Amino acid sequence: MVALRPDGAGGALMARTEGDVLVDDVPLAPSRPRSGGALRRWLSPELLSIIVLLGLWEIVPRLMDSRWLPSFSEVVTALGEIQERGLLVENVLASLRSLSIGYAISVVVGLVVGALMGRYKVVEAALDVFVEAALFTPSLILAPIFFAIFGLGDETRIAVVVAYGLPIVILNTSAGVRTVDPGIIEMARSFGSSELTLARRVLLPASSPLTLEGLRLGLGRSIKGMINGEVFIALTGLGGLASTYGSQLDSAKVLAISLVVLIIAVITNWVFTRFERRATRWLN
Amino acid sequence: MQPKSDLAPGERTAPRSGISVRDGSKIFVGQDGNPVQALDHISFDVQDREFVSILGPSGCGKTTLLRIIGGLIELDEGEVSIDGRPVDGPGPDRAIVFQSFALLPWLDIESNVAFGLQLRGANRKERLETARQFIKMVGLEGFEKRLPKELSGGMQQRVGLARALAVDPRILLLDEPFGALDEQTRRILQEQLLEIWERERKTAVFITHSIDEALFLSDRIIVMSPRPGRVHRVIDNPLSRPRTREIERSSEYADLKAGLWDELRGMHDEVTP
Amino acid sequence: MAEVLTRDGHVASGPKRRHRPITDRRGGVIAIRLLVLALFAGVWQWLAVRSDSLLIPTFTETVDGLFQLMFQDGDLWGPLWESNKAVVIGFPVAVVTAVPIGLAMARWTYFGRFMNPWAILLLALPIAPLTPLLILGFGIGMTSRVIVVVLFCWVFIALNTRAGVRGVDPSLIEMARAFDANERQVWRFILLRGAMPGIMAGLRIGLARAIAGMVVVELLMVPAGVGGLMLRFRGQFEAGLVFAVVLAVILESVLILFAMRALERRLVPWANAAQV
Repeated sequence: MVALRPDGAGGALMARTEGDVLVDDVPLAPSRPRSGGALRRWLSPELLSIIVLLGLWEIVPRLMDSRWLPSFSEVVTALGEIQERGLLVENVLASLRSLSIGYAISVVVGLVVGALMGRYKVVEAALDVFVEAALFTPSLILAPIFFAIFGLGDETRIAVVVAYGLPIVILNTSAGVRTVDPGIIEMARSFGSSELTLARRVLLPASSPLTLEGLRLGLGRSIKGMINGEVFIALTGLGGLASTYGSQLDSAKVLAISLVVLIIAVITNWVFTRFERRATRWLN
Repeated sequence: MQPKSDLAPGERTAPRSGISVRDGSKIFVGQDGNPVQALDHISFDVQDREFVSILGPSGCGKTTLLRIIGGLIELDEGEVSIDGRPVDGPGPDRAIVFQSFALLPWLDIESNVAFGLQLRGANRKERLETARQFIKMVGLEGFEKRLPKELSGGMQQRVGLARALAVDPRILLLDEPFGALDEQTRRILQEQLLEIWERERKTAVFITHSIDEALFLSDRIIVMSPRPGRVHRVIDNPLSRPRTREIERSSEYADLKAGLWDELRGMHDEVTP
Repeated sequence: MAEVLTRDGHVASGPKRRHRPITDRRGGVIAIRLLVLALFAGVWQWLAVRSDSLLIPTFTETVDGLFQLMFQDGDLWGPLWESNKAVVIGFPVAVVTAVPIGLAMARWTYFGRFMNPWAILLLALPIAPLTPLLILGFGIGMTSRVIVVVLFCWVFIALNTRAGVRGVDPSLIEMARAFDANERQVWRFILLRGAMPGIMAGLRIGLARAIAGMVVVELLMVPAGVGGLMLRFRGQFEAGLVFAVVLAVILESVLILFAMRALERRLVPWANAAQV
């Protein structure tokens, strides 16, 4: 790691990033004590940011006094109201149900297709442009198609979830399997391993960092698909609820629903990251 | 082990030309929060136009020392000076050749060689002309318009060398420049480096953990020991110049090599004989 | 045992004859892809015919519809352009604001960390349900559509810009410092050039997101362009035309993707594939 010569006004020690997680990697730092004192150390920039965010959210809407942007406290109150009417839990469960089924499909299909792509050049050549195209095109554009095929049922919402999550799982899995050391593959086959066993016992574990990352990103995408699909159908689930409140112009309740989705996303991501860390413990 | 330097303790020095390190110490804070003493009261001199190798295993602080002389890092204690003037950051009198080559991948070879000059503000015509001279000197004529990725490791390092030479530094600092290359390429480049040095006669400080490399190239060898980094011994290299590969077969060479290997044996298993 | 193509292109199995794998042959890759497309079209056709539903057009009906919309009555272009206006305005606005902030996030670690919660918020908060709020606040005109597009793509551009700068090989920075470069020179000669692959990737991903925002607007908020077109055709039970419009949007995205990739190759020819 390189230390840039400190230049007076904050010449920075450059840090590395890993994906979208900032790793402030400063293995060798001068042992001069940091200036700023105790407050600086306790108040991390992230914490300050959250405080500012919530503060602005509370104060600015009050000043503006507009109907479209309620303050944070109003949103929380609205959330309470939704809960009181018993609508929250019921719709959260409905949403989570289609999320789970859709994500499960994305995972199974994605792992299989991705592994095939990573292992066999033919499959990769056949599908990679389509996967890349699928990642670039807006997934929601398929919603009218699913609607035409499945109507107002659950299948449409599940299909949208799959459309959102599947491509990234395939992409990362194929990338992960492709980077598996060919020497290990050769070794396993020399011991007489079948293709299926090879896939299970060698390819998937060895590709796990990228593959797991794909599953994590796929989960985030699936949640987007869940809510977007539900808003499109405007019938059940959190999206349906949001759509109802939207047509009633109840901004606070709409934001409350969005907040619930945000919380779901944050929690599932956190759970997944812990699982990911344990699963890749064999890495450094 | 008593740290040795080529000065008796307490002997004051008259300002001399060349590099002078006095009582240099450097502490880093490691990732676990504990302090690591990278350098512990280092003292030595490098005469003008001398070729000095710093030899030692990993963790002996040689890379840190090079960067301190280069002005990229500051000492916590002690002093490093050139011609009597303390080092205060990088300057036009020094240039570094990096182990990882550090070529800019988006520039072609001649622009890479001209890079140091560009930073100094030389205009385009001048700096490219100068660059071409040095490209020729390292034997890469014809490759001016190529991109680094089109060149082999050995060729890339020759570009790095040309770049350092192009700014006409008095002092050349080389950080294990051939460490990333295979054995054959390394030997060829050692010979090329020596050839160029014998013509240009810059002061050279060369970091290595190869005894053969140190013996082949340098006038003196500073052996450092790790954790904390200290000067273990300074050894004169009496092998006559100009040097050819023939010397490697002499008994004098074998004795020197055995002696150095003994010095290093206790320290770490990363030194290659 | 099944024939397996190993990484170095050899057929790896017992007594079968060795032959050049299809992926190495000229045009082999294209042939495989066309085969996949043909297979897809075939399955679609068969399923649509079997379903016998008024709402599910066959492949041929869809392609006919697309042809009609594009070339015969040209009804596609007006609405398509109308939808894209939101991107044409919104994307540059996002780029011009997000790139400098991304650079600032890279330069000042504190600022970067300060912005992280905001970035996570924008990334994880679903914008689709919020469209009625935007209409309430900004009306049903271009403003709210542009706001959606900007919200969709802004974060990706900023974060990829930051990652691009952070990803610059630190040894290059050290080298410049060794040649006594000051900070302005480090930025000018090393960081901005070195960050280009990351920034270009950010622009590419951002553009995809901007188009996604455009679609969210059309389907969930204000059917100004292609959304309106689809509604009209659905009301007229012209399933082929509905699907044709969807296909048109997909084709537009794919073309834009190719264009972006080509642009990247031209602007940063020195970058290796791993960087983008």
